[in-house]
Order: sequence, then structure tokens, then C-alpha cells
Amino acid sequence: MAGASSRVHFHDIPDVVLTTIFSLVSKTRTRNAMSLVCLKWLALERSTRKSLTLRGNIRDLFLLPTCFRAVTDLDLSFVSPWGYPFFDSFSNPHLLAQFLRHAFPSVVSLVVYVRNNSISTLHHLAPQWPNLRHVKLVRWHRRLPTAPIGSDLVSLFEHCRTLSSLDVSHFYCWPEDLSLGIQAYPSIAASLSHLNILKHSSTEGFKSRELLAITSSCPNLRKLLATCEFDPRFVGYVGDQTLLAIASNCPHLSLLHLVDTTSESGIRPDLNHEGYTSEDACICHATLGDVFARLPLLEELVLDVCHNVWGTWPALELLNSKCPRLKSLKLGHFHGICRGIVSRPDGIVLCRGLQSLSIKNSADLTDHSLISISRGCHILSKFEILGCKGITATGMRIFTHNLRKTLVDVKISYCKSLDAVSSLQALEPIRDRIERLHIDCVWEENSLKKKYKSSSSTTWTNIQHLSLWIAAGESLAPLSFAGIDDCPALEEIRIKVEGNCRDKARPSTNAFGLRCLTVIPRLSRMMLDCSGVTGYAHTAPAGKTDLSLWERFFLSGIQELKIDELDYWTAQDVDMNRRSLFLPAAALLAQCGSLRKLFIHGTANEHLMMFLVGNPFLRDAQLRLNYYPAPDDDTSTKMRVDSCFRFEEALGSSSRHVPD
Amino acid sequence: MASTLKKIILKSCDGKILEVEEAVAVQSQMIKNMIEDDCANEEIPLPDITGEILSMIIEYCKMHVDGENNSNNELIARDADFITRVDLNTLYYLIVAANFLNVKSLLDLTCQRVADIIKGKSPEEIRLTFNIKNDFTPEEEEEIRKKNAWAFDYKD
Repeated sequence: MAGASSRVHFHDIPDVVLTTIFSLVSKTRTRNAMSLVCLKWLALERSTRKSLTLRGNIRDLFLLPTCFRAVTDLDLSFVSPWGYPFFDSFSNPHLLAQFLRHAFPSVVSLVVYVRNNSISTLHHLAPQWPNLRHVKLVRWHRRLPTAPIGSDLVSLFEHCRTLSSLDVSHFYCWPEDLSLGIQAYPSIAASLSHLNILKHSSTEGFKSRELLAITSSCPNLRKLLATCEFDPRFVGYVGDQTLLAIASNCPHLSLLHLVDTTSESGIRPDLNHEGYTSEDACICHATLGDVFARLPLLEELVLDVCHNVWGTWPALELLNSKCPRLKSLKLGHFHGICRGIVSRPDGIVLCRGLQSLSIKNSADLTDHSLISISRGCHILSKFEILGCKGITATGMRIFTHNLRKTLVDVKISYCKSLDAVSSLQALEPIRDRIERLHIDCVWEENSLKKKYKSSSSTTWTNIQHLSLWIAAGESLAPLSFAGIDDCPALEEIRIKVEGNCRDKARPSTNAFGLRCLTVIPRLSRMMLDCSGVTGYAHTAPAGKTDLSLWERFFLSGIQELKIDELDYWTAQDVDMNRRSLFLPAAALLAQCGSLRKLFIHGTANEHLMMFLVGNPFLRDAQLRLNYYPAPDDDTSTKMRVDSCFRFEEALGSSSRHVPD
Repeated sequence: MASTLKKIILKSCDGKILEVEEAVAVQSQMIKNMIEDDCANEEIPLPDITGEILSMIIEYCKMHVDGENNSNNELIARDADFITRVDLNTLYYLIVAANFLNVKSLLDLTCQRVADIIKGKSPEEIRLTFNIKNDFTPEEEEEIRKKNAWAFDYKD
């Protein structure tokens, strides 16, 4: 190369550009590696490390280094023991709080687990960073009934006057805690631009009155996410008048995300059901049109209702004309979203700017409507279709064919005519492009046989994330000849198992079939979610199988996978109030030699956790979710704070050196 | 429309002269400023940029001007194609030039490319790739490792 023959060195690039390059790397392990290259890189890395999730034991916090002074986004919710009150083990909590500020002086965004206790975490932490702009509170434990209503938020608002974003979606509290706290601090409420009050930690939704109180106090919201009660049979339900008032209260919304309380419950509808609910939501399409007209800045809209909303195509046409920036849309139980006349596009088909679309339980959606959508919404990159029984593989295939240039993320779930084989066949046109995929592992014997006969190897070139749903007792093994056998780029897999094991004598096969995933060369992270599996925790009645053996069924084969990160949700016995790890599962996990990180979403006995100390690369193991640490009055769980300290000590002992 | 057909003359450090349409040249904020200040009527000397690099940058800017009507995805694909053809040494030159000429989209693209090269590598692999000398003592290294252990690598 002429001119370029005189070699330049990486360090000849101006520092300001190097800073930009370093800022583009977010993965912690890569950043750690970068800090070890040379002195110059170390300085650059530290000055550009903006976000940090603190790792380590609460007891060691006084050893915190002060090298991460550029960190603006700090997450304290992973410190172990997970969920343990932050300041409880210190005689001088104020000093520790000051210490944290000293280590991380630039924090503007904070995530913290706030457990109820006599010394409030926020009371000490919040004053340390008066310029906090974003706070996310986490709590899975019961809210202490004796604490005054709204007390957590009061101690936050009292000290963080510049707050503009609040996320309490993983914070167990009551709706009144929130509305009261927000109303008590009108100036902070008025400056909030982002409020996430989804309720992942409880089944309660906001009532109309509460939503209106909150939105009228926060007129400048840009983003609002909330779980609400759309069911018209309840007092205080959210209907179209509430939506209209929300739109008037917060005219600047760019994101409105309203989900019904039952939507996240994970109850799968009966596939043979016709698709209409017995009740209608109190949302009429004309009022809906007025709602959209009041929200001209809308970019993302989620209306995940669990009751019928009829004849919505005129409202969706208004959505298109009144909200020109709309990019992402999710609708639940909206019927008649378009009429599917190919020559006359209408309804949702006119929303040509959509990049992401999710249609849930639209009972009258047909293949024709789907094809019209693929012609109208021609730049969709993400598409989800759930519970639409009118859709067949033919329609879906034409849909993916029409969108093959842009579509990279697809979810197909509980659609009656789309079993695993036909779902995969429908995705054939984008097989070399798709990056994220969810399908249900519903094995139809006939289509499996047909597929098996025509067996040809199929490569999913770009798929990185695969998500599967499977009924408890079914096997994963048919996956490979159903059409997923070669995924060279697949790194992450999520498997959700669901079902009642009490109905079944025993699994239909010897093993669930994790072994069949060994053919995926780059698989490194797995989320195995058995939280939807219920069974007998202890001895099962004659002819039935208890959960410890079911667990062995699910996990067997895991020792052959070369994964380094596992999230495992244990199965549960609702009547016994037990969600814990059993001996066979602990033994199997202990044999999974490549594991670096393990999160068990459930409880476990200390001696079972100690099995894991033998895993040569295991660096972090945490028990998570609402069961740990056990409340003091709960005698059903075994792993307590002391046991956790002992376990971590064993895991972190110097005889076991785990390289980063 | 007449102004878009105006040509800007650029001169590289090795004496190559390139004629560029104004619409293409103004992708560079620096040249755009010069045109606005009316200093671009004669040839513009670019002291640190070789003819080879300059023509690559012009190729890139042309691609973006021509591609304005195409979909975003198509442009991203073309960008990816452009940048993966470039070797590391040329990449450095492109970065320095894009920074000097202030072509924001090219600077973003080249920086992202370097970041992608770094991604997933061990310290030793990074040193090898970028020809960097390790100036740490083993003790210092151990100290940094200990500090790094305070960061959790977990994504939801």
C-alpha cells in the first residue's frame, strides 16, 4: 500500500478517539482484559468504565477499590448474600455509605436491593449522590406491614431532588405506596420523565384512580410503563376513559406500556378455545382514536389487554396518522386489526413505519390479514404472534418471505396450527438471517415423520438466541430433526418448561434431552426455567413421581454441555410452599465442569450448595428470587445468611483460583 | 441544484489531486465549514492524508450520498462490507483521517470496527493484535485482576 507502508501504531490514534473506542466496549470481561494490556490501556479503560455491577460479599465492602471513579451507572443489587439488607452487618452504616460515595463519586444511576429493616438502606444511600437521576429499586421480599405507607419512596425523594427516572418494576410494594409517595413530592413528580411501575413481583395492578393520581402529578412523563386492571368486573378498572385521561395528563409520552395483571401470569390459554374472552374490555375503538390523537409523540405502544377489544382497525388507522413516529406496537386481545383485503390496505396495515409488532390473541386474524401486514409494515425487524389460531404455516411463510430483508427476530407461541415443525418451515425464507427466535416445542407426530423422511441438514447461520417452550414431560430430543440442527452462532438458549407433574406418572422418556444441545458449538449461556412445573415436593403417592426425580429428568445431560452461565428456576410444590433444589439436581450441576456462573432461582440446603465447590471454574453461585434469604419467621427454607457466608468462603478460598 | 454539481478539489499529502462533488465533500464537517466560510474555492491541501486513504474516504462518502434513499439496513450492510475489507494498518489511517476531516459516520464505523476487534480477546491476544508491549510487573497485574473482580459480568 502506497503511503500506508510507513506503519502507524495503535497509540498514534488521538486520545480523544481512543476514548471513543474504549467507550464502545461494554462487556465486563472484555473491559477487564483491556485493563490488563498496558498502563495506557489501564488508564483509558478506567476513565471510560461508566457502568459497574458490584460483585462481592457485603462483609468485604470496606476493601472496595477507588479505581472506578468514572462509573455513572452503579448496580448494587448483585452483592451477596443476595437480597440481604445492605447495612445490617455494619455497626456504622453511615460510614459505609460514605465509603461507597468515595469509591463511586460520579454515580447518577443506581440500582439497589431495598430490604425492609430497621435501618433503611435508602436513608443512608440516597444522600450520598444528590445528583442521582435514575433509580431502580429491587425487592422480592414481603413488604413489612408495619412500615408506614410510602416510607421507602419518601426517603428516596427526600434526598434525590434531581430524580428524573424511577423504576420499581421489581420492587415489591403496594400501589398506594407509590401513589402516596409521588403525590407527597410534587416537584419531583413534575420532573419525572420515566416511570416504570410494572409489577413483576406481585399480581396486583393499578386501578384507574391510582393511575390518574400518578399521571396527573407527573405531567412531563416521556415513558410510562404500568401494570393495570383492565377487567371491567373489578371496581376501579381501567377503561377507555382512563386511557383518555392519561393521554391528557401526559401529552409528551413517547412510550406507553400498559399491561393487564393477568397477562404476565403465564397461564397458557386452551388451544382449542375460539380465542374470544367471555368479557369485553371497556375500550371502544372511537375513544381509542381520541387517545392516540392526544399523543402525537408516541413511538412505542403496548396495550396488552386480556379482554376483547372489538373492531379496532379504524383506531389503528388513526394511530398511524396521529402518531407518525410510531415504531413499536404490541396489542393483546385486539380483534379486527385489519380486514385483510389485499387490494385495500386498512387498519394496522397502514402503519408503515413499524419496526416491531406483537400481536397477541387476535382471534379473527387470518393468513390474508397477515400477508397484508407483511406488505404494509414492510420494514418490520421484530414480529411476535401469540395465540392466533387462524394463522397457518402457509400464511406465516409468505409473511416471512415478504419481510426477508428486514426480519431478524420472531416469536411464535401457542398458535394452534403452528407446531414446532411447521413454525420452523414457515421461517425457511429467513433461515440465514434470523438472529432471535422463539417457538413452542409442540411435536406433531405426522409432521415430524414427514420432516424426518425429507431430512436434509438445515443451517441457521445467524441465530444467536433461541427460546423454547415445552410441556413438562415432553422431550427436547425431536428438536434436531424438527429442523434446528445446525446453529453455528447460537450462544444463548432459554427453555421454559411448564405443566403439572402431579397428573403424570413419570416422564415419557428417560431424560429431557439437554444432551441434544451438545451439537451447538458455541452455546455458552442457558436459562432453564422450570418455575412453571408443579409436583410433589416430598414423597409422591404410589404410581407418581416426586419432584427430585423430575428434577433429575430435566437436568440430566447438563454435565455434557460446555456452558459457562446457567440460570435455573427450580420446580415447585405450591401446597408445600417449596421451591428448592434436590439432591440429584445438585449432583448433576456439580458435574457441569465448565460452569462459571450459576443462579438458582429457588432455595437449597447448605450441604447441597457445597457440592458446587468442586466445580473447577465456578466463580459465582447465587440463590435468588423471593425465597432467599429466608424471612426470620420462615422455617421451611434452609440456606441462611450464615450458610451463605460459609459457602462463599469455600467458593472463594485461595485453594480454588478461578481466573477471570 | 447548481451548487450540488460544484466540484471541490482536494490534495493529498503525496500530491494526488482529487475532484469531488460538493454534495459528497460536505459529508466532511471540516470541508463543509470551509465552504461555508468561502475558503474552498482553491484546492484544499490535506497534509496528513495519503491519496490512497483519501480515495477510500471519498468512496465511502459517495456510498452514503448515493445510498440516502435506500433503506437503513442496506446502508448498514454496505458499511459492514466496506469496513471488513480494510486491514488494521489502513484502519488506523482511516480513523486519523476521518477524525481530521470530521466525517462522523465514518469515524463511528471505524471506531466500532476497532471495538469489535478487541471484543472477546484476552490481554495477550490484544497485545499481539495491536503490537503493544506489556509494561506491567506481575504484581501490578495481580493487583488489577483483584480490582477487576469487583465487577460482575452479568446481563439480564
